[in-house]
Amino acid sequence: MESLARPEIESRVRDVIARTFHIDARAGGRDPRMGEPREWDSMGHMDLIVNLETEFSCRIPTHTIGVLTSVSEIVEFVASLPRKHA
Amino acid sequence: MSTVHEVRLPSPIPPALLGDVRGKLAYVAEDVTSCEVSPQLDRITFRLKETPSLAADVVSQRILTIVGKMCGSYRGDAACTIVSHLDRSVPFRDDPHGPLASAGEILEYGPGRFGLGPLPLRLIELFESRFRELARTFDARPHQFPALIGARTLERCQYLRSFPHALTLVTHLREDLDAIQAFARDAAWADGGLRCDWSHLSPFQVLLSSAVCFHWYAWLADSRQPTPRAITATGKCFRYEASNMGGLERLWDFTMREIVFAGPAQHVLDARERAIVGARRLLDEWGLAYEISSATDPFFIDNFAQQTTIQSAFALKFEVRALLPYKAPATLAVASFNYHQNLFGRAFEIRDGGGAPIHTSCVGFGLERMAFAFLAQFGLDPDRWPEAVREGVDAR
Repeated sequence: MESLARPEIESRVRDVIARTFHIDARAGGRDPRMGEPREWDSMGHMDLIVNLETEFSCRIPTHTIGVLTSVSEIVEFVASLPRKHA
Repeated sequence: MSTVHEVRLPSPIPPALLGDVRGKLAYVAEDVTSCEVSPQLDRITFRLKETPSLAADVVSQRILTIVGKMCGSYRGDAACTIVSHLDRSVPFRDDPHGPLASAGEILEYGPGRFGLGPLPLRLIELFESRFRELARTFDARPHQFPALIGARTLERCQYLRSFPHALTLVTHLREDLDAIQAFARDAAWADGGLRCDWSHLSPFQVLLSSAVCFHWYAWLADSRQPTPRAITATGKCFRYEASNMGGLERLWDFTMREIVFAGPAQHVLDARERAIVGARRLLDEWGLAYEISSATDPFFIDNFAQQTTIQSAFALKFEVRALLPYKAPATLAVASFNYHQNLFGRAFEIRDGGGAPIHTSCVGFGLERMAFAFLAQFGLDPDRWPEAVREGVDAR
């Protein structure tokens, strides 16, 4: 099945990160990643995972959670989901 | 006469969580004398003692709460095994508790409280000496810490919130002449406990420590650590486990040798990896049947799902699990290798040269469990022990 377009995925991922950690995920500078901002710690990461699951109507398995620590990793994961997760 | 009741679960307990759920059912209510999960994992039967103070439907609701919180957001198992030697041939098959008690080598003072005689002690001394050697390969500086730990320290560790069921609180009589004299006059053992006027007792400023490494984080609190550090210490640890305490497998009061690392993330992860390699070498030398696999801590129910998922997702904890032949395929955790990310660096304001919270990892060897697992696999007769252990013990 065809996947979502990456620019759209990235935009939605950044929105979820922004909502979760109350930051401007589109601002210049370094991309947000686990550890930056400070709120993106392991507990914050679980909040992000739940919010990503809601946004993309998916269930993220335990073994994948530890990999999704940057915008690019999350985008890669969402792009690999079947098309129904729009 | 006790009464039996059944709770139907909205969905079966995931098999991977069965042990954890069983462990937490011990904390449902003091009126519950037993709790059993059905083979299909979809029902729990419990027995209430005569004239309970809680109604059966209240207990049922509590059971549903425990199962719901622990299993409701289960995401699947991410277990991984680093090495498995569980099929290693060992010569002993019996439960060693009976022979040890008959030989005067152990005495049970109460649930989770055992005295040990010369045989298990000789094993502990051998294992402990080799763990100290392992610690020296990391230049870990020896330390000693008290059995008591400040309540504030455990609060900073988030231990009070994550493991309330395991705490052992400590008090003493208030500095008050009337209170002390009243206690001396009135305190007496009755109904399974020491009866006294609770208003005469101090607030809980300290507890019995549940781990060795917390003391070191408190030692380093509010400091800068520009270079990696390692320490090692043996200490008494206390973890109350209600009716789960049984024999030498699960003690309330046990001894742990820890090696603790602090520094950058990659440094403490590498140290943990090296410690796993070193531990494997020792376990193989001693001929133990064991495996090293990923694990999670027994968080209480409110934090259980989230915390165990984090531990699994980021491979934060590995355990050595030794085979217990008398109840095979059951195993017993005898050591653990833990990475805490920067949890303690942040909690105790311990920062590196650049001002970032340090990362920590630790290795813990449960000494009584090590000796017990060895005796369960090789028995009490040193002639049947692997040569390395027999000679090691003889040389001491």
